[in-house]
Amino acid sequence: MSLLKKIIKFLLLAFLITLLHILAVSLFPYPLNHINVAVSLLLLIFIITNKEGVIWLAVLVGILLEIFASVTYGINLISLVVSLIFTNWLSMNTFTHRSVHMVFITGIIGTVMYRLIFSTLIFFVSVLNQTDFYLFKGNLLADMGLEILLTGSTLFIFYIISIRLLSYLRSDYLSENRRIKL
Amino acid sequence: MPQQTRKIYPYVLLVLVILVIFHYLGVTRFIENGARFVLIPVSTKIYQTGSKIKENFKFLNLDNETKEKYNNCIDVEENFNVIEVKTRLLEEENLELKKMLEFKEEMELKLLPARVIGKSIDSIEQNLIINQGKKSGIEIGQPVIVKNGILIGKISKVENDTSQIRLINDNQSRIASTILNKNKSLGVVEGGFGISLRMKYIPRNETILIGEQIITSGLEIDMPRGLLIGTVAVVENEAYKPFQQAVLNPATDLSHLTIVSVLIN
Repeated sequence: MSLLKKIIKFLLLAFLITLLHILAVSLFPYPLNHINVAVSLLLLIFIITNKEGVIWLAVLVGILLEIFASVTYGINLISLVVSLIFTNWLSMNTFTHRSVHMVFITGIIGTVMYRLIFSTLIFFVSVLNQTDFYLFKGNLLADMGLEILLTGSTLFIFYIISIRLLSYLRSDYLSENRRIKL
Repeated sequence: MPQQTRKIYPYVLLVLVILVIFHYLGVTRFIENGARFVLIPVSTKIYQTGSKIKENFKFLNLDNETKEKYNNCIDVEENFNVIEVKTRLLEEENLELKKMLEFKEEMELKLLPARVIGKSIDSIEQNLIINQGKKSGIEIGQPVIVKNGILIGKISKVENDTSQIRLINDNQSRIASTILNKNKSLGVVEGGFGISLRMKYIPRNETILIGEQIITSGLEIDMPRGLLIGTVAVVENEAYKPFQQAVLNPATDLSHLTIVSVLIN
């Protein structure tokens, strides 16, 4: 029964993250619609819970987002999961100091990795299909930069809010290992 | 780093590869259809709400009568632009046919109406999702119009029941086009510049005036000639560049489309 509950919670969380992402893209005005809500929420959950199950959550969110993706199936999914794995590895090995500044940098790096892998995969697919992919055209790079900055900032804000909420709700959160360093 | 986390990385990557392969084999179709069944009605509601909010935002300071008059004016102007383009093309065609004795091939085009049910999840792209797909005869590359003659984009991805439109202001969009000027200048209309468009590779010696209309040239496969794209807003003609370019205003507002038509050959 507890396994069933876990699976249901897992599915509901994945659907919620997907719907929040769709909401941001459809409802928010420019430039706020450039926030990559899926990446920022998944990174937030990674940073707060520190559990490997979040990677599977990312796989499920990637599958759901593929329904609305305009690129070849798999590009969005692979970019999302691989960028989160890389960011997780970074936060475990390099950014071990869990300050809010590191969280912001983690958000930036996570989104940069996402876009880098995304663009690389699109490039290879366009080479295989013999179609064109214009990376240096129009405002594409500027839009990517905006997305990276806004997603990092959103993660930063979400992290501060969630840490404040958790500190009020969980008395064991003020233990030495989990204290925020500002 | 926890050993367990490191150990699952190869499994995750393997699962990703398997999922992608299963998708193309059709094994995961029932899961995807189930997820679509849940998500698409919600995304349709979200998109429609977003369109209404954006539409109403424009009218914050206007009273009801003025709002109605404003909407009517926009409709009349867009229809007028389409009629004007068609009239000019008919006049030119008439002259050419009178001069030459040749067989004119007509393309049988069918309009398939579709409702916009959402946007692509990538905010950097300008792609819309519609509720018609392969089952209705939609194919990649077909043009999508509104109001019987204003081009808004092309079909970029097709599923069984849904399709995606790449709008003309998307950064990967390129349309072969003609200016309705004295020289009938040819060029390529590109997106990726926010709400405006740019027409590039226009020969420098040809004169372009602000306000002139741009239409599809018909030089692309599946793209008929004469679909209105926009009007010239700014001309950029610099001596050191081999071509001139024009900044265009799209012929219709691309930010809140709800009903479109796909041209099926």
